[in-house]
Amino acid sequence: MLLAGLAAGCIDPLGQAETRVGEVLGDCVVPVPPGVSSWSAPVSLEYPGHSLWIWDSVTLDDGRVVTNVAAEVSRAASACDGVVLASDPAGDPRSLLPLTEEEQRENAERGDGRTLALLPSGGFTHEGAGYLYYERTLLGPGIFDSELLGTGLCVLEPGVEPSSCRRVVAGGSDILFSPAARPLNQGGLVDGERALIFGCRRAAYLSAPCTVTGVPLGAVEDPHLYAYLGGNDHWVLEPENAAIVLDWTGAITLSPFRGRFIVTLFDVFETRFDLAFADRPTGEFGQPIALFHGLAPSSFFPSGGREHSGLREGSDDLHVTYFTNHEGQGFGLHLASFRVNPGLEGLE
Amino acid sequence: MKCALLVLTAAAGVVHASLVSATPEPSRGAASPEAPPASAVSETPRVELLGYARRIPFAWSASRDAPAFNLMIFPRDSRTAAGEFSLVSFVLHELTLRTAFSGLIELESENQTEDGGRFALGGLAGEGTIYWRGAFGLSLGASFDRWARARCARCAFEITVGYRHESEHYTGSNSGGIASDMRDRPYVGNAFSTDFAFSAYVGRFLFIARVANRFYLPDQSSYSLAPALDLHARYVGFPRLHPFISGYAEYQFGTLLVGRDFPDSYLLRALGGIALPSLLGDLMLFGSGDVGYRKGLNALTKEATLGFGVRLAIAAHP
Repeated sequence: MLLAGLAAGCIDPLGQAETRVGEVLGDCVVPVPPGVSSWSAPVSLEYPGHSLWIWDSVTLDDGRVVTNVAAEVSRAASACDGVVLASDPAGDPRSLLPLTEEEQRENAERGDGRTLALLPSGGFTHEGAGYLYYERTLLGPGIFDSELLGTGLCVLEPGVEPSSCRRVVAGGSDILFSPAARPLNQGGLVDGERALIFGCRRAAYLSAPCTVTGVPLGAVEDPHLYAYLGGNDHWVLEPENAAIVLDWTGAITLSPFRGRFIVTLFDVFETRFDLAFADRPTGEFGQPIALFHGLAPSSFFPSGGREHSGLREGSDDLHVTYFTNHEGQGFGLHLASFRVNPGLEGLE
Repeated sequence: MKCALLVLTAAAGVVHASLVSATPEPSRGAASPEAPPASAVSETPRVELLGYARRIPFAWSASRDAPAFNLMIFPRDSRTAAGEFSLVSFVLHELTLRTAFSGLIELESENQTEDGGRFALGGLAGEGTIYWRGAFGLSLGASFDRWARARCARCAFEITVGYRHESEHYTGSNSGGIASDMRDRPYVGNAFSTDFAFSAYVGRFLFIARVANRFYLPDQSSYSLAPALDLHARYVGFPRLHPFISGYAEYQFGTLLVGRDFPDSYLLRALGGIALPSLLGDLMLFGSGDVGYRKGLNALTKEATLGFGVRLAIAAHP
């Protein structure tokens, strides 16, 4: 009897339940604007009450490619019905950050299959002005052959329609930071008298250490006054003394949230958005909390993944964009809205 | 199917063993349908110190929280040291009041039992992480002895209210392994509880029914309510060997805790086997079957299991 009873032990798995930290309010595909045949996921500048989305390039129906096209988005719901790209008098999308005539001529004269591009990577806003960092890059000839030449900054003056972003030039060049200098590719925000810009640089497989660079608000256009956040909250110039505040291979977005700060993290391997809290914009950030999965692509990885704090209407809401090449109706640029449960991480 | 057949075979063996090994000698602690139980109603009001926590035992239950020393050998090694005892009892004319304390420590292997030899040599017999949970509680029970006896000669009725705390843990690596992320696991936490228990001897059978509920304190648990039904039946025709079956069903309503929505969970569990009564309590050998959610830090995992275990249940027959 005992042996028979011993032999009886068996386990049949029936499933795994999950907990939730909020609810997905919506996940729409933003319609491609009229006259545009393809686009990707935007970076953005977040203003109080609205968000400025910036695409590094869009392809028009006639095959022309327009770089650094922008659209002002004031509400998430309206963006799901479509966005209006800033356009020239002829009605064509207009570049916010165009190449100069000389740069265009150099591109035309190139015979190595490479093309100079200015790729916006995000930035911050302050008193109505937008500060957009861009990476001066040589693209091609293959999709993995891009070469970073350096990082620049352009300024969108306050009160002006998003038609032109003024490039900042220092020492006769618009490359303010060399490729080896501090990364400024994940946007930022203003904290007190200083702008904080996040940047991550791939260091190894699945490792992209992220640092915080700060600059006094009155000296944003002076590249010599940018400094890394180091240990013990000191600002340092040497990259080897910079503090690693995160290590993340996807997009990250820093923003204020319920009186604290969050980074919204996009996991491109899982098409999942995570959240990490901190009491200060410079960290220390807690362990990421999984929020929700987006629509996974049918091949390769999704792109984008920025959070748009300028679209928040409720204090608990997050709005994110990502682009997925999912086969079917889900293909395209997604705008997803998520409401975080009250009390998450003891915020209230 | 193979498992089910084996369990049926085991159950048949149990019944057979009970019939051939029973002896007519009554033990001091065991109940029989003819004699009054050890905890019979007293007519003299008095105060008693340390004793049994309940008139109607909960230690025979199929609940995972039954206050007993329990060793589940299969499907996975699970060892429980639990008990409940009355600190002070007030035996009155109409009822008996028992103030009681209960405690529980349970260790459970992550995976299925594979090395039975470890039961003798120490350590848990299953591979993987060791999960454990601990609980303690305070309760006040009232057995309405006179009221119940007025309705049938060998009936008992008892109401128990209490407060209970439970927390879940796991044993981390001693060799530098990576810690598991358990932030999304349910937390049982703190609850007030109440249960209504009824027992009756019918011929040579004893039946126990208990309806219970836990009222979890807001913001102190992943659950809000947990109603449960607990049934037990045993044949008491053999003084030293009681074939028994126990059934238990619970449903826990998930709620919001620290910003996280926890799902509902349930558990249906049955035990069947033999109980060997003694002066102190029962030694129980049983087969088990359950479907529903695990306990402790694995409470999000749903499964169906068949198993086998041994229990020492310190409790008086009603």
